[in-house]
Amino acid sequence: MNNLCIRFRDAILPIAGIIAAWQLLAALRIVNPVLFPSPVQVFFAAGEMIRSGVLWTDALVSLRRAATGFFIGATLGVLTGLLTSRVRIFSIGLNPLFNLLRPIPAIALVPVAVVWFGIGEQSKYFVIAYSVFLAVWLSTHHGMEHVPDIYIRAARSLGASRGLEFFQVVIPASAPHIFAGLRFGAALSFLSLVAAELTGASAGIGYRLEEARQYILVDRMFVGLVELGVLGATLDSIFVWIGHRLVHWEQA
Amino acid sequence: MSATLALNALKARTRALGKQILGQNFQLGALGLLAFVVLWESVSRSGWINPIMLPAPSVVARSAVDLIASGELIRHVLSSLWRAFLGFAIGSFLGLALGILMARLPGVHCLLNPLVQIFRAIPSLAFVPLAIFWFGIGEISKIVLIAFGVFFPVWVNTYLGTRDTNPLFSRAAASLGARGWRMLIFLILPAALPFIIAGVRIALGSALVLLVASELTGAQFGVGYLIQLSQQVFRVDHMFVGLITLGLLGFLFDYAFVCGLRKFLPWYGAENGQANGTR
Repeated sequence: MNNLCIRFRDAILPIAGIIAAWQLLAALRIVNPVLFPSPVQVFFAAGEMIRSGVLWTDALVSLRRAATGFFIGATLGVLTGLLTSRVRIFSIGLNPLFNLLRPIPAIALVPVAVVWFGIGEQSKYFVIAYSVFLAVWLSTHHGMEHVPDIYIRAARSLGASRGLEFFQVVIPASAPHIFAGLRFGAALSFLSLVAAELTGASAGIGYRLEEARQYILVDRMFVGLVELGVLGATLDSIFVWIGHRLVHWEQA
Repeated sequence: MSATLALNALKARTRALGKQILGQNFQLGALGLLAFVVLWESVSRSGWINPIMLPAPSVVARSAVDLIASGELIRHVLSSLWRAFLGFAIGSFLGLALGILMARLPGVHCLLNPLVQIFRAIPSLAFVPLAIFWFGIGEISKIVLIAFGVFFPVWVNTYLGTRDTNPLFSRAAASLGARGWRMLIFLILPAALPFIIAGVRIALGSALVLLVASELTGAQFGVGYLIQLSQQVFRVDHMFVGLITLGLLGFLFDYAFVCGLRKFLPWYGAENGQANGTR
């Protein structure tokens, strides 16, 4: 109960204060309401978007895109990371390429993806999967490569086979790194989702932002921003929660 | 004598750079990279894939030479660099100032923390339409966006670093009579510097991301704009030149940062501050 009070004081109260100050600014006509809508306006816009169902369909479309891209990218990233960290041929052949690709911002690939795959779903999956892939690959590769030597030596001196060593020592030791990479990848998938949707789509939160800009409906833009913030924060806390359960032995 | 020394230093640095990209035995790494380029070239020339969609490395190299020779690429790079520099300078200054203020003054922290936390949850790219709406498609909206993206990593790290200064240090300094700005300049800032450096390094990555995002929406010059323009006229080879330029810029930013760190603040150990930037 006490905890809840502190939470209320620390989280809810300041936000309420911000909204009140914002409303006051708008009510006193200090800022132009077309450029900077009041919270009440934003609230009504959100109500209208909920009633027409746009808010849910956008969220579902965006989440499906992010989830598909994340799933493809994360699977490939973990598998490639396994190969490059355990099999020398792969690390020699692939690491230099990935290291060269890493400094290129993934958003710059959006126009390229549009040329290759059109403006449909595929180009969005490609951009999201690409950005997730590199992040997850890097953390998997590093996590597996930096398993402390002493663990492996201890396992070998106790007579563990290669398979046993891999599943009982390498995987548990690198899991926190891999999981940190997955969490970072989830945040990235959201970022690339917005980038991909801004350039052309027929639904989705990023698309709704761009549409609202073209029709000069700033209140709807604010609704979209809040929606993105809430979804992003929720996803991240889900990842943290799963992480505490799944790799409870070590928090990276 | 000093020339040979400099040459040796240059050789060592090139070797370290090669190792960083190509891995431990970099002859084999270079061979792998070469194999990839040959594969790409042969796929592009084989006729399975439309060579306009996937131009061969030789075609991309020729376009790059053309773009450099005509002076076009330099102009794009220079305008991108100028934007990135301005946005980065403004964003990191604000992040630094606000981080210190919020860590030192509880009143400012109470006032601003919820606001900053709310904005932090929203992907910075989502502000591109809003920035265009508020500031137009000119330079200002681009610089504001870059500054916005740079602000958060610098702010978070400055705030955490300044807040978590070892109390033993500040007590020792206080007992020697340090107060106010003296305490800040000689104790708090040096103690928080490793955190701040890590934040600035991450911010370099986000500056590049937001630079590209803001240039994709429209500009007169800029590497992101080059990619966008080439898409509209279907010059995939020029898009590849743009991508490679961006990769080089990102790499050079980071490399210059690490070199500067090693030169001016060698005791902070640049290798430990490995950043995992938001791309």
